[in-house]
Amino acid sequence: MSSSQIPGGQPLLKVSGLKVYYHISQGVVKAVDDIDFTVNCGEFVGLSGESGCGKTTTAMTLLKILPREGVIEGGQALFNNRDILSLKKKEINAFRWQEISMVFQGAMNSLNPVHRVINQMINAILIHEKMPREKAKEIALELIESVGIERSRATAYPHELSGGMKQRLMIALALVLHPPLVIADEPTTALDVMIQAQILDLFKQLRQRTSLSLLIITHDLSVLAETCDKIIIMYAGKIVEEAPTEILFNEPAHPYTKKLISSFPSILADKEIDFIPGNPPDLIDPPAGCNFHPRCDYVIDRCRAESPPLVDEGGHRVACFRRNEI
Amino acid sequence: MAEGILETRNLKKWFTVRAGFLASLVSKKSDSYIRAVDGVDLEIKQGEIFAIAGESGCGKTTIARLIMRLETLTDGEIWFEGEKISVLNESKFKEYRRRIQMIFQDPYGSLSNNMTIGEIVAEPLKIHNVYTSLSEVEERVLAALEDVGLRPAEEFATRIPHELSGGQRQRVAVAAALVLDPVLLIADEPVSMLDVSMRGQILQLLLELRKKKGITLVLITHNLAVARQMADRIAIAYLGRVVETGVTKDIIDNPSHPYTKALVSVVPVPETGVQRERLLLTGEIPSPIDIPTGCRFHTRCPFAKDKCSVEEPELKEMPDGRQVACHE
Repeated sequence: MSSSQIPGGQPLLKVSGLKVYYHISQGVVKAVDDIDFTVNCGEFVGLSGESGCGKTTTAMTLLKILPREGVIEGGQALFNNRDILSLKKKEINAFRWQEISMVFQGAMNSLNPVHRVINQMINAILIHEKMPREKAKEIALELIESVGIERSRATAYPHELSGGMKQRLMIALALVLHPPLVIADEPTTALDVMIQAQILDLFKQLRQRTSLSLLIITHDLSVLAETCDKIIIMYAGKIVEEAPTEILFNEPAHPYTKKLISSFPSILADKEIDFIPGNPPDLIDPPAGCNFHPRCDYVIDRCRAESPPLVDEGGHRVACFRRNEI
Repeated sequence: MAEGILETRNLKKWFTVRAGFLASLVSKKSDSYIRAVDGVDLEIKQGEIFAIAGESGCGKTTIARLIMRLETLTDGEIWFEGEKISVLNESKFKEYRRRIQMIFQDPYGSLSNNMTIGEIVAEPLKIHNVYTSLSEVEERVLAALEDVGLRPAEEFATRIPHELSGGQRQRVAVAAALVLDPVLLIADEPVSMLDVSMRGQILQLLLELRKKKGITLVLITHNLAVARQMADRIAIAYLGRVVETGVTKDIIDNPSHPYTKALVSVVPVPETGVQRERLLLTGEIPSPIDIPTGCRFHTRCPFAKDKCSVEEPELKEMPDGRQVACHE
């Protein structure tokens, strides 16, 4: 269940003017092109859009794990008033996992197959914090329990566990040092619906029990509908809309969001199958004006010439000249 | 009532897991079997869209591969247009393979980058040797590309798969299946690798093909929402068997098997403020090597009775026409 009131926390992460370009032999790909957003303390934020919209690049930038071609061209990302992007290499190592940790898509395959899962967790704790091994073990066991896995399974090797259990363990591993922010990139995409439901339940419990902030990145809007306070929609490297979950689903104001929601199949009702004609733009040579205008039903001359700014009206941010007509 | 086009009777596929020579000496361990498909009866009618749905490991893809004879049957029969095709030899079967075509999940892996789109779509014609002249090949290839909406067809025919988007690639895969004028198309997760905005295009295309050409479609999917939108009828599979089958709308709106109930209840919906009763199953699907006795779902079923662990329920017809395999 998503609640209508947003927890009134302080901004934990404040990204502004972020630009990340990939310099490849064919040219410069503007993967993330001037985006701003905040994640408040205790808030669950969803970041969605289609492949190539820049959502994963955003996550990789925040953890500074961009591939060599990816260059941060501008902007800042303030985390607790410290700019992540200007951290030195040494500082980053201490920063990752302790301040921000990440759960990747298919993370269950990143457990080391030759070590028992409990030892992997203990080691993760000991790398960052000085404490007796016994104490680290106790912390690890508690975490394993908190993600719904019996203590007795902690000594198992990864291959003895199912995909869902491994994914839950990865979430436990991400929480091991109690970071204030966890970034989850497609955390349930490779899983069956039953396991997905278990993971989403886990997120909801964490939200009730802790002050964790979570940035969930997924193309699956239905996952976000069930877990997030607010949702950010990206298209071709830019944020096109941001709104509290309920408003985004019930009163989408950007033509892209509207189409995306109506294209999404639902088991609840007979829905006409809808889709967005055409393909996402080439980010080396994006169209003039609004990136979405070649696929948009509401296009006017102005959209072809000018890129619409992201305008905030009472917490509902939309980048469209015709937002009030949609 | 439309006529049946494809029927499977007691379809079975067991994969052997070898015990190994040394192990067999030491522990007298014998080979075990993965019962991937374990007695499936399906009846697919002319011109309908039939979905086979379930979680990973339920056997849905193996069923499709058995129909295409990409796997050999362990037991059972497959009937197609009134003929028992499961007993035909390879050369006779080739004729049927022309009439039954399949498209796969991954449009990035299934198309060769060494060939142009035109060559890829022409390949099935050449394999089956069903053309009289090269100009006929060209004509049919262009017609197939037109049919799947890759226009201008002449231009697309000269391009290479890596120049196309995922949605366009999946269209090429559909064109290559259509070029032989099949009567039955099996689509194994045709949209699960595609972006949401592209999915609709492919699903719409499949619906159009049915409308224009009367093609029967078997849709293999894990996504109940896609099945709900597309399929006339559906079969829900669990551990190699069908637990419930009938009209899609009836089954998803009002599931009667406990497994279907649970599965439907946990599908997230792209809406807010919807109150739904959830039936969250605990545990995991048991291993298909070691299938529980009795009803294979009883280990996870919240309504299991003593009888369920002993006796395997058969599919029984309900008053509304659906079939359910449950003692209750």
